[in-house]
Amino acid sequence: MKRLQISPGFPASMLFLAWLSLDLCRWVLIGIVCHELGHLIALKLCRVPICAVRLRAWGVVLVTQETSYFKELLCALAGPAASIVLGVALLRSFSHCAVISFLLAAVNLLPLYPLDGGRALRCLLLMVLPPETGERVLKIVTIAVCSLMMLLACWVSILRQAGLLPIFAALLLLCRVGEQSIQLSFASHRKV
Amino acid sequence: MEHKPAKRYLAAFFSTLYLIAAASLLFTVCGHCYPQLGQKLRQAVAGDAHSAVQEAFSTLTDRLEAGDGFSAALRGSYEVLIGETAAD
Repeated sequence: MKRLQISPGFPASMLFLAWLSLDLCRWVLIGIVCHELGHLIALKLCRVPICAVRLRAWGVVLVTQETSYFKELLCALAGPAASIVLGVALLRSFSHCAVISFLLAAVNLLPLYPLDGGRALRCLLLMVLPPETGERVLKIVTIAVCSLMMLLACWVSILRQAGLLPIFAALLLLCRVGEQSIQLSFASHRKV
Repeated sequence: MEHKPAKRYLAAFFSTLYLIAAASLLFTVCGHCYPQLGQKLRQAVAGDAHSAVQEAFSTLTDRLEAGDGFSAALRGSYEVLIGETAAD
């Protein structure tokens, strides 16, 4: 298996961002690199081997070997922490980059599995609850947050004249969440 | 999940085709040949240059660069986004 896998969606989404605004594309790329560096450093410190790095339309996926819930929680939160550190460091000098970095951290902290917030929430739930209850709570939270996110995206797009971008972004996130839940349901069918 | 080689090549072919189509649409057709159409498309996707979201973003970055506190800048930006005007 290749260690670096680039799906066609990744360059396409970067081209799309560059078409919208070259500055935006540059800041988002810097934000993503810093965010993933946070994850990589945490994985290295926790000694969790990385199997592959996947660049996809909706972001970067680090495929790792199975580890303990506590280590996964730390590694999941390291990315948003790195984004916040970058944002604070660039707050006065490059405020555009800082704000985009904060936005990346905020989006990644949404409690939607497999985003970092959802991953952290799943680890916390599975540490304190039985697996079935934990997964059920995670599913309810995911449905509630997805619904709120779509409503917010529609409000921003329609009533605040933000164009179709917020709806595109929300749909991309939903695709990522949906893909993961399909994989989870396949996995649970296999177990049965 | 393992795929048959023929399916993989077909997927690679369509992915490349999709990339070429996307790049040519974005940079050639929309941006270069038809700048007005490109501008309209960009406006439809990213919204008006003076939309509440872009104004809120500009307010936040401008106030941060001006040395305002983060929470004050965030409050100002939120007020612009919601459409509230400060009562002076």
